[in-house]
Order: sequence, then structure tokens, then C-alpha cells
Amino acid sequence: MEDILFLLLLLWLLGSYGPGLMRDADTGTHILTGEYILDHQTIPMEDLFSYTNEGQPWIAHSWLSEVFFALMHRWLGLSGVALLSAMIISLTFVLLFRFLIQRDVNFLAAVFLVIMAASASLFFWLARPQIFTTLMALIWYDCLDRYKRDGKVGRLILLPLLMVLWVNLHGGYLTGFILLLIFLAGEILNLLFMQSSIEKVQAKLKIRSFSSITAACLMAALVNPYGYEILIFPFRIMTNSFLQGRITEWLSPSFHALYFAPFELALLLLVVSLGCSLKKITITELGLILFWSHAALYSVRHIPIFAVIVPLVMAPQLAAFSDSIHSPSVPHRFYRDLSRRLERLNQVFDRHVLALLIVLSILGLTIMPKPIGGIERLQVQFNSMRLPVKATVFIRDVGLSGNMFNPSEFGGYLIYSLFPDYKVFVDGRVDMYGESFMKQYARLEDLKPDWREVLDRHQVNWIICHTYYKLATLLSATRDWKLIYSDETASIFVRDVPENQPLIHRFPNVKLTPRPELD
Amino acid sequence: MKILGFGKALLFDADTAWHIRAGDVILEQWHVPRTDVFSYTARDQPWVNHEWLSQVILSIVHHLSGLTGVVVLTALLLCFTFFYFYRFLLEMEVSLLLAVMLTLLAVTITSVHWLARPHIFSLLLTLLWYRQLERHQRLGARSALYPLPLIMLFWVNLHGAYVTGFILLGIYCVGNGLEWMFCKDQTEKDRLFSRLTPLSIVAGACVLAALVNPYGYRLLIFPFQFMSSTFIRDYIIEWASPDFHETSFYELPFMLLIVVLGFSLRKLRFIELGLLLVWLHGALYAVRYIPILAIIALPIIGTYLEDYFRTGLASDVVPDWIRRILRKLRGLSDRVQAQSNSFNGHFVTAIFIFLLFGLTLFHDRTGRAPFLDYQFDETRFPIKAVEFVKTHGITGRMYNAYYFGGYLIYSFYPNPDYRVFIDGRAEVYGDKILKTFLHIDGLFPDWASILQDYEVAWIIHQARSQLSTILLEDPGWKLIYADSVANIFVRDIPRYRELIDRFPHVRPVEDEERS
Repeated sequence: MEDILFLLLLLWLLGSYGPGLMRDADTGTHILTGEYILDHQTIPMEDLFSYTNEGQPWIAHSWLSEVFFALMHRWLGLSGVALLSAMIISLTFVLLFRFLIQRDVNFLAAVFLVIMAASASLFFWLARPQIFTTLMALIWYDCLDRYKRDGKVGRLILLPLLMVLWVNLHGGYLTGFILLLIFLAGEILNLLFMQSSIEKVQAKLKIRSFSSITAACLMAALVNPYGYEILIFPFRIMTNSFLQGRITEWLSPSFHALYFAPFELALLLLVVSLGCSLKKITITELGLILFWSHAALYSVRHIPIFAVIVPLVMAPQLAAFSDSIHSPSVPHRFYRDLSRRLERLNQVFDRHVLALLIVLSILGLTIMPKPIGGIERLQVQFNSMRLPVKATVFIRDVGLSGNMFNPSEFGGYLIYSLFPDYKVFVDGRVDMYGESFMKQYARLEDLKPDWREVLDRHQVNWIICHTYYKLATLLSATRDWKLIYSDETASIFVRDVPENQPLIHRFPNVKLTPRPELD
Repeated sequence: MKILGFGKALLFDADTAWHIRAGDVILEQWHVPRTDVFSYTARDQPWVNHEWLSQVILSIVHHLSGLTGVVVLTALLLCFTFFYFYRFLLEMEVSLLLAVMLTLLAVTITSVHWLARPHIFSLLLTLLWYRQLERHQRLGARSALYPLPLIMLFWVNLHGAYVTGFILLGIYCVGNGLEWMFCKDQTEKDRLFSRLTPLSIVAGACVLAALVNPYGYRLLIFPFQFMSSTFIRDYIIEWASPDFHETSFYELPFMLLIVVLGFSLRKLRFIELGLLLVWLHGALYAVRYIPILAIIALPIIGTYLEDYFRTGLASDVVPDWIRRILRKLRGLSDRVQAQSNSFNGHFVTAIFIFLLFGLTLFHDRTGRAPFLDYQFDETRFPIKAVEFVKTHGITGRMYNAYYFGGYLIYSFYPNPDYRVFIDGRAEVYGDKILKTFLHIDGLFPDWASILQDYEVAWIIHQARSQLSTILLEDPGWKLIYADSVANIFVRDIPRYRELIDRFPHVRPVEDEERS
């Protein structure tokens, strides 16, 4: 069953969800950073990709994931990047399934929970280093929780090793420390509230091992190219409300959107299962649920972590709930039998052979040089509905010169397709650009009356922007900017100055591509 | 109780303004208008004015004592709400200290939506409704249900959220039904059944009562039409999902629920489960339901907390020091309760309210500096800009910012020459006009041609808005007035030649947050 789950997810991710996986421009920045590291055998300490912040100190906190992405990119192109991401995402949910079964959750219930968790985090199924953090958080939680249950230290020793990896993979390594602290705090509270002396002794023991592991993980986290700076780095965005308000992934979820419906369902089910359960939750469990519900309501980027951790926290409650039914009614019995039968079927498949075969054949599809027997080669591309794929071809053909202005959502893709010939104005690395620069950028993005100042200060010669956004309307109303290119994703304007006259005459009377009527 | 310090903030919403004027219109004509009277875009379009009775009340108060009276009325309604909320908690056998704490919590959570608008009536009525239903459920007293149709009679005329009443009734009916289906014990089954019949009869009576309104059955369909409009759901702030960056109070009811449910072994009843799920969904979907969630969920949380309070005293799993604290709190609670019983004349409160009304009524006549005087906020509404328009007699069709609409109606009333393009009554305009508004305010490529089609001659918009920025670029429009709240633009046409020449080099007011 795990294999089937894995394969279904993998195939879907690579197949019909493919354009979704590659819709984020930051993927481009990550690949190129990885390429740079591979080429120069060093890890960049300052910005490479923008002209506005050239030389500014930059912490490439996901450098190791970026190297992985770049390796896959060299080997198989973008399809390789998509394949790697799809495998990581599928692995995450397969592990979630396994962990649920190990915690005695009924088979069908586990399938349901995995589907719910996977669809709740659909929004974040992207080819980005963040997917490593979700996977790591899941494994990390499993180690801590097992230790808490059986008291065997063996698994805890794994954590510092994982941390060495994690801190180099993605800035979300902080999740590991948060989980550790919640477990630690839970045991301290246990010590305060427990009456029996055996429980007190146990709690003391656990406090000791949790705190020493935390210390060991702190040391492990220092094993990275930036030293202690990487420990301060995550707080830079977390404490800056301006930056948080400007980045979509730090915003609260809007439950009007259909893709947050599974998350809402998860929240409501949480209330139902706590309200109907016959087992009290422990302080640690409460801490975990409260913290991750808060984090997920606060910022959408935490929803995937909520989605993999909370089902596991609730697993004992769910197991207790199905045990408590003594005289099952007809639907109950049917449900139980079906569940058992599926479990038996599952054991037949438990050889991983099938999975291996299919992964190999997908690999074959991506490397095969020419179509064989009508089967096309698997080729994943950046999503051209969201990213300026056609416009960059135009930029190269015409050979635009001078500084560009671009919206940050295009930045990563422009880096991917135009670096090192062109440098961008801004891209998704908000932490590097910093608050004061992002505030300047926001003046223009919000079309404040002084919007021209930003463009003049950086001597911008041409602008690439979203065709359907307000900036395009404003620019076409002004007289000092001329439209020379427009498609349904991006439009390009140049400054109306003598040097640009040849270009303006070459592309006269370009009109903004009309927007399809929305409903 | 104390809410008056908050007074100014109660008038933060432009809708208050048009509600008062709508009430004026009704009082003048002795008739509820069937079609729109305030705008030119939706002129003569049908208007289901679901809040007419509240508007009449607001208008009368406004006639008597101005905006101050409106604020005092709203404050009083809120105080009543929390007074009954507190009483309700005591009836649910929550001990006094806990009840006070929960009431304070309800006050803080609901304060996000304290505005002088008809929905304040709904908050109070929701609470009263819930209290009657719960009384019937707990004590089995049928008489508790009798007031419901009467309440509905008022509610349906006061505010469109009367639907809340039907949703609550529905939850109690279905909850009892489910409980009855899953129940094994025969006497218990009978007891549940005896709840079910009166509930369904009363539900029927309430539907009949709800028909007593100027629009008949159309008012019953109205809320569903309203909520099916995508524009309303997606562009009006109070219908947006809560932004949890704003305040942690939004999360509070949910977090408290998890804590009390997680630690308890008592299973939720179907009714409680239904109440919690429906309103949790509501609150996640739209900020405007967060106060309702607080009113509904806090009493349930209260009963759980009270359980802990009691079992914590008795059980020996709990450490001694905690039990000692609990015992102290209990003692305190009982003592205060005894005290408050002897003080229960409502005398002081009555005198205080009387004095307050006296003050607001008389301040005009005494001529001294008024003790209580509330006005619309100068930093939110285009008060000076409207003065400018009035002194220079700008004529022609206007285009206005959505959030100025209500205030413009208020200040130009009853002059029929000034009709707005749009205001807070999204339901009157309908998706078609709202979409054209969105095309202009959202700077769609056809913004200018839409303004042309509607023959708009002058525009009043927020200072620093995106529309203002693009109008400054457009040679066809001239800025003739700017302050820190609003800009006024006129078309460059002969009619306005004189004005344009008189105010030639107006520049927009700069923003203080500029770097």
C-alpha cells in the first residue's frame, strides 16, 4: 500500500500537477545558486543576481538543497528537478502513512488522514527547498515521540546528525528546535503537576535527555558555511511585520479559496475528535497542537508542517476511539472488515519491487533521447501562464540594454533564463533585500504618487510587468514609458528617451493584451 | 460597565451615515423605499432594505441628540448584550468569578466589530435567542420558547442576520434528533422527543413571524442572494477571512476550545458540536462572525471550565498547591456572589443611564462645551473636502471612493443633485455595477472608458489611492483639492475652467511613512 500511495502521488505530481509544481519563480534562483556553487566550488557570501543589491551580504541558507537541484538539473534538466521534488513530497506522505499505521490507527482512517494532509498542503507542493523541511519535521517528530513513549535513547542520537543536514538544506531547521522545546517544556510541566514519584523520576530523566540533545543539536547547527549567523537569520523575517505582510506565504490563509478547504476540514475535525474522544491529551500533545494550529493560522507556509504533525499527535486519540466501540453496528462492522481486507492485500505488495520498476521507467522516460514507439520524452517546463517564458525570449532576441525593473514574482525565473547577461531588480529572496529596499519597492508596487522616484534612483531603462496588474495600466497612461511587448502573462515597457527611439519605432502601436473576462 | 471611551471608534464606519439618512427618508415618507434613492448608478433598482427598523431608530435618536445619541444608543445595546451574557453564564451554573472572566473575554473578542450599525441589534438578539433555546434544552420549560416568534418579528425588520436565529433553531432540532436516534435508553428517548416537538412548532411559528415585513417572502430569500455574490464575499473587508496577524484575539476562542476539550473526558452533545462547528466555520470564513463565535462558544467553554474547577477541588491527582489556589478562588467567588445578591436593585445602573441620556439631550441647549460629543473621524472621512465641494458648488456626476459613499450621502442629504456612484450597500448595486466599480478602482485597462460612459465629471477619492496616482498622470483630469484624507479631481472641460484656474498647482499631500 505504501508503494501504491507513493506511486500514485509521484505520477500525479509529474503528470497533471506538473505545471503546478513548476509555477514558482524561486525555483529558478535555487537552481542557479546550486549551479554557481558547483561551478566555483564555493558557497556565495554576497548577492550575485541583482544589480540593486550587488555585493550585499547574503545567506544562501538552502545551499545544500540548491546543490541537489542543480545536480538533477545538469543530469536531466528541469524534469530532473521536478522528479526530485515529486519524490521528496511523495516520500513525506508515505512516511506519514507508515507512522500512522505504526501508531495503531485503523487502515482506512490512515488513508483518509494522509489524503487530507496531502491536500491541505497542496498549496506548497513546489519545487523548492521547503519540501525538505516538511520531510525532516516529520522524521524529527517521529524520533522525539518514540523516545517519549518507550524511553529508548537510540533514536534521539540521530537528531544531531539530522540537524547537520537540515541546517544546510533549509532555513526551516528552526522547526526542529521548536519541536524539541515543546517536548522539553511538556516534561517540565509534567514534573510540576505529577503526583506519583515514579512519574517524577521518569520526567526528570526525559528532561535531562531532551536538554542535552537540544544542546547537541545547537552545536550541530553550527556546522554550516555561515556559522552562528544562520542561527540568527530566521528571526530576521519572523520579527519583521512589514516583510511578513508583503510575502504571500507569510499571510494568514483565506478560507474563501477552495485550496484551503482541506485545512479547514482538518481544524474542524480536530475539534470533533477532541470533543468526542475518551482519552485525555498530554501536556506535550496540547502544546504541539496549539503551537502548530497557531502557526498555520498565522502563516500559510506552516500549513504543511501542521498537516504532517497534528495527525500523528492525534493518533493515540483516534486509536482509542476505535477501540472503545464494543458492540459495532452494521456500518461499523463493514468498515472494519474492509479495512482488514485491504491490510491483507497490502502485505502482498510489500516488496518495493513495483515501486523500483516504475521509478526506473520514469527515469528512462526523462533521459531517452528520442521518442520510442510513440511515447514522448517526459519534459517538464516552467509554467508559462505564471512566468514570463515568452517575454524572456523576446528580451534576448531584441537585446534590451540598461537596468530592468521587474516584479519580485518574476525575479527567480528571470535569473534562471537571463543570468549572467542580465541582473534583476528584485526577486523572492526578501531576507537578503531587507526592509528598507522592500519598502522602496512597495512604493512602486502600490502605485504611490512618488512611484517614479524608485525608477529614477536605480536608472531603470525598461520594465517587465504582469500584463493584468495595475502597474501596466498606469504605465500605459503615462507619456514617458512606451509599450513594446505584451502577451497574456507579461508586458515590457521602455523609457521614452532618445537612445530607445529605434526600439520604439521597431514596435509601434503595441497594445496591452486584453484580460479575459473574470467571473 | 464602561464603553464610552470607545465612542469615537464606534463611528469609524461610513455605513452608519447612510443608515441614519435612510431612516430620515423613511420617517419623511412614512414608507419604506422600494428602490434606491441615494445613487445614480443603481437609481430605481429594487432595494430590499432589510434594516429599515434599525434605521428608523437610529434616525430618531439622531434627530433628538445628534451623533452623540447614536453612540450612546450603540454603547447601551452593547452593555445590555454583555449584561445578559453574564446572566446567561450564571444560569449555566458557571461560578461568578469565572463568569466575570469569560464576560471580559467576550468583551475583548467582540470589540473588533463594535460599530454603530444595525448588526449590533443582531448581536444582542442572537444572545437572547441562544439563551432561550438553552433554557428550554436544560430545564424543559416550553415557556422559554414562547418569546422566540415575537423576537423574530422584530429581528427580521431590524437586520438581515435574523437568519442566525433560524440556524440556531435548526441546530437544536437536528441535534436533538441525532441524540434521539443514537440513544438506547427509553426514558431518555422520550425526554428528547418532548424537546423536539415544541422546537419544530416554534420554528414554524418563527417562519410565519418572519413574513411580517415590508417585503414579504422576498426578505427571506434575500440573505441567500446576498451571500451568493462573489464580489461581496471577496471584496468587502468584513466578509474576508480573519487576518491573524492583526490580533491574537481572533484565535482565542479556537485555542481555548482545544484546551478544554483536550483535557476533558465529557463527550460533546450533538447540539454543542453543531453549534461549535457551524460558527467555527463561519468565523474562519468571515471576520464578522468572530463575535458570534465568541458569544456561542464561550458559554460551552465555561461549562467545561466549571467542571475542572469542581473536579480539581475533589480529585487527588492534582497537586496540593493547585488545589489550594482553587479553593481560595472558590471562596472568593462565593463571597462576591453573596455580596452582589444584596446589591441587586439595578438602581445605580438605572440612574446612571438616565443621567447619560439627560446629558446628551441637553448639551445643545445649555450652550456650554458638551460633556459628550461624538463626530465622524476627520482622519477617515472627507469632512473638509465635502466643505470644499459645498462652498464651490461643484456640479455634475461624481465618482467616489467606496468607503466615502456613506459619509457623502450623510453630508449631502437632502440635496438631490449629489448622488453617489457607490456606497456600502453592496446588495443594492448588484454584481454588475460592483464589477464596473472594481474595473475603475482596480485600474483595469478600461477604467477611463467606463468613467466616460457614466459621464463622470468629478471624482472624490482617497489621498494616495492608486486611482489618484493614475489621474495625476492623465492630462484629462485636474486636481483641484487635496488634503491628507481626500483628493478632488475635475475633468478638464469648460464647465470647470473657472475652478481649475482658481486652484492651479494643487499637489497631493505627502505621506508621512515615506522613506
